[in-house]
Amino acid sequence: MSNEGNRRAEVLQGTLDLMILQTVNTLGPQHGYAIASRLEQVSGGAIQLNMGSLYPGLIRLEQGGYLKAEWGVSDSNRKARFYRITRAGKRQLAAGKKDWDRMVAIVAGLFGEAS
Amino acid sequence: MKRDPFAVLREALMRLAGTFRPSRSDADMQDELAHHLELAEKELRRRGHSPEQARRLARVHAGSETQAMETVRQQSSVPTLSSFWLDAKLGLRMLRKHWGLTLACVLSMAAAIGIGAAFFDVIHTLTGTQLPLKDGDRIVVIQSWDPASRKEQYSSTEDFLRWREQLQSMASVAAFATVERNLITEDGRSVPTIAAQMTAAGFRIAGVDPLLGRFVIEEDERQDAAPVVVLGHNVWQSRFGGDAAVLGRRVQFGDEFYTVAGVMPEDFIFPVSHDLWVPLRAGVALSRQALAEPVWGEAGGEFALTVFGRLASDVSLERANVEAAAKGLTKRAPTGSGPELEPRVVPYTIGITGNTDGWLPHVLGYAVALLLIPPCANIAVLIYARIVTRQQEFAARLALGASRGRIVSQIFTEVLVLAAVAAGVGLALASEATALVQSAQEQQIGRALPFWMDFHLSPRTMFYAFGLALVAALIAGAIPAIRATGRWNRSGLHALGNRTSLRLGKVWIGIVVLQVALSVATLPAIVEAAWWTIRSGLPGPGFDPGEYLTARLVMDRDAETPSSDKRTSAERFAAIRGELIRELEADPSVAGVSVSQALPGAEPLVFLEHVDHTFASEAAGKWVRLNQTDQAFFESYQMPLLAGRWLEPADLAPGNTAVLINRSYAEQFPLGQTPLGEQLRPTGRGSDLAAVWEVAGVVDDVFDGRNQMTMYRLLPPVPDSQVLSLNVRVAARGSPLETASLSARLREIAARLDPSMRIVQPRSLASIYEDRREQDYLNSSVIVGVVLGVVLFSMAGIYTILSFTVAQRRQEIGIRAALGAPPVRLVASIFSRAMLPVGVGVLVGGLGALGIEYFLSDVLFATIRQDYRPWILPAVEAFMLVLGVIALAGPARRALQVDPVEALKES
Repeated sequence: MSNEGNRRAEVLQGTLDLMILQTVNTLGPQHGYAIASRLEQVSGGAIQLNMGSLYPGLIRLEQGGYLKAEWGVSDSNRKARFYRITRAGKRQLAAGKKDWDRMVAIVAGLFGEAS
Repeated sequence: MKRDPFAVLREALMRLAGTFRPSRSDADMQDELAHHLELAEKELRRRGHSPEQARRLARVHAGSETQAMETVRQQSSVPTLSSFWLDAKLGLRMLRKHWGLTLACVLSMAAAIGIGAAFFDVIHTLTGTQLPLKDGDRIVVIQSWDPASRKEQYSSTEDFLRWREQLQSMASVAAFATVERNLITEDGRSVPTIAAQMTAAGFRIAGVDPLLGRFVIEEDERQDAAPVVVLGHNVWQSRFGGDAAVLGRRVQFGDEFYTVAGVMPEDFIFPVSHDLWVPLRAGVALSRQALAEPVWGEAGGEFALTVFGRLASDVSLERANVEAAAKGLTKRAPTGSGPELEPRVVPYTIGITGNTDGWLPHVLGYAVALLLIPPCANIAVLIYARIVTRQQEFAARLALGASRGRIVSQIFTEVLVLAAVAAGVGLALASEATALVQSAQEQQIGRALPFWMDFHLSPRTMFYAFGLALVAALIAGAIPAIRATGRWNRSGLHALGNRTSLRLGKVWIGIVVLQVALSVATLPAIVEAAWWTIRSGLPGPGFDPGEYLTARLVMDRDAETPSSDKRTSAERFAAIRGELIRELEADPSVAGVSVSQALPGAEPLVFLEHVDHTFASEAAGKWVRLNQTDQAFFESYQMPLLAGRWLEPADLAPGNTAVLINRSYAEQFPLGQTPLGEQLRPTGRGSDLAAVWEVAGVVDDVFDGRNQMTMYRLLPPVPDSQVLSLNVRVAARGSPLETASLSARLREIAARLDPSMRIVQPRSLASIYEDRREQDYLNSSVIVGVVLGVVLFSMAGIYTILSFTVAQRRQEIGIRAALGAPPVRLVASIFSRAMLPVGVGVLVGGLGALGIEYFLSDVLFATIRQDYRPWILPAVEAFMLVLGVIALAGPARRALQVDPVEALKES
């Protein structure tokens, strides 16, 4: 993969992680499908996560210690895996939001200046 | 999102752990994905889609389950490691399935890796410079160095005293000399013991506290000080039963009495391998006396005084050298009359062993890795053949998208598993071998090895062995894999289905031919050596070796009061020896006593030429063992006279040169010719013994099973040597010899006659033979192992070639069979072409064997061969051809089973 490709993947991956953390933080423990639906809903259908992106992301966050996965029972009375944000996850989310805001401010400033 | 380093580390660790044991099972993950799809379907149905549509759309939106599983798996583990792990498991399964091949490959690789690792370890142990002492790297030896001959000369007492006084770069300077004397305790027991005469500073340099009492202090070095001795742990345990009240007890060491001042802890055998310490009195000019027994190696052994010290803090070896060079040495001889010496400061181990700190041993240590090449080349052929038989498996994998690199790495990993197993086996073998080397070395020098030499396999050796395994896997796995897959690349995937697409290239055929040639060339020599080794172990000696006790009889050379008259000391030795023998013979339990220069079987070799060229056919002469014995020797070892006469005292007169030879030697003379009166001239080493010797009689062999050609001369009553072998035969036949009690009695008599007469290493002949037999069995099993390996590989190589030949000619055979060719003709045709490489190998190897016989037989078989056995070579050649035929059986059967219709279809 080229350098540019690498960088893009990093940005997307980082943003996806942040969005997942935000969703779980807002809604409380959720299973994979609920997280994907929520993202689709709030983005007005712009973000449609397939399983090949969602689940590796969840596992990555779990490996980093930001999420904790536990078995539970879903609304349809079926065994399901629920993801809960950890304290480290909350810290990470706060730091991520701050970075994001700063980045948005910089970019907005830049575009404002240009216009 | 910027992640903190702990999270990154945590993810890496969990992925690593997940590689070997997934934290979430595939079943769990599949369940989770299924749940996802169910919910998506449900949602779509709620929005009005039909169940059929809902299922399809859910899969379109959520993506493929299989792909999701694959990405999850990749996220859960380290991808390269995980495929490596998979390949390794597959490799293990293949090893189990083809166990015969596995065994052959593992054994041959293990032998090569084991030899390599043992050699590497022994070299590094013997040349190692690490001292297991506190700040051991600061301890150095100060030598008097002769740069012209690149040898160490003795250090004079004057220089030692000057260095001790003046060298600023040394924190302290000490010296030691090694002496061996009888240690006689209060109970009258006398045992030769090796002691270090060492200055007090030596103990401080070692930095080890005594277990009891004190070590030598400066006051002990004064001339008028009461003599004290410090005991080593071994001596304390064996001679005083570990008695805590040993301090203050008196012992006799040589002809002087000492008071025990201290006991050193276990494993303390500083400065080299010493069991006892007495003060070195600096004023005594003992340094110029050569000792009978070496300290260790060349440097410390030739002369007595070794000067050593600890570098002052912050002083480098270079600076110490500069200072020592500036101080120079005291003049010993008028300028120009002796070698120009200069002081040199070297690391302690180098100073003691005399090892040059050269690169050669280290390069050699790595060069033994070349031993890997022959077995690896063999294994490469076999692996190449196996790749061909598994072509369809690889074709399927390539079709499913596996890269060429992936296939190569799979084959490499399989061979790496094999090599790793071999490295484990090899290390186990190496560990045994180094233990044997250690005990053999200790046996040879009659004492423990220097304290820093630890023959346990070091981590470095293990690292080296696994490095060898990696190299082996590259040669035997990666190379054939790259070559085979390269051909597929060129010929395209479609060719993979066809078994005949791969051909055995010239290189591989060349290797097999070479292998057969090598087998034929070396097998005759190996067979002969193996036969000799095994045979000598088969029959026991013709007498009961348990009835014999042997020991070395050594007289102290008094270093402190050097006797200028060597003759006087030799006469004293002879007189005491005579007295000792008379006392022993008076003992009713002793049947006979004799002395000889060497033990039977351990005599030195001399090269003999026959003056009137009886052996005109022989190029030069023969290597023969030579022993000097007294008259009682032959009776004692029950060697009857077969021809001629016994040696008599008159034979010792000047100009008389009568010798006896043994039966094995006499049998070398042409049939019908008597060896009596034959004149023999020794040449080369030992030629100064006499001008010409004449055979006066023939005695039977000493039945130690080796039947070595031996010649005996009469030992003069006053021999030059102060070291003789004493052979005592016990009368009570059948009763096992009590070595301990008899040697104690021997020592008691010797100590009573003269405390400076030492009985060294008393052993029953049975135990000596036992050791020798063990050595023989070890040697022969190594040889048999090599033979088996050579044969096994030749057979496998031949089999590979033949299988290939048959596979390549499948269509041709099928067509010929369809046209009605009789099976016999078909087999003959396969046979004639397939056996060609084998035949070429046998021919080339035969020439090689003749070459070895012609050029090297004098070196290889100097002492073991009685007569040349010309039938061995043809037998070996026939054997290889028979092996070829046996290896052909399988492929030939397959060829006859070729279905003509199928074969034609393939085309």
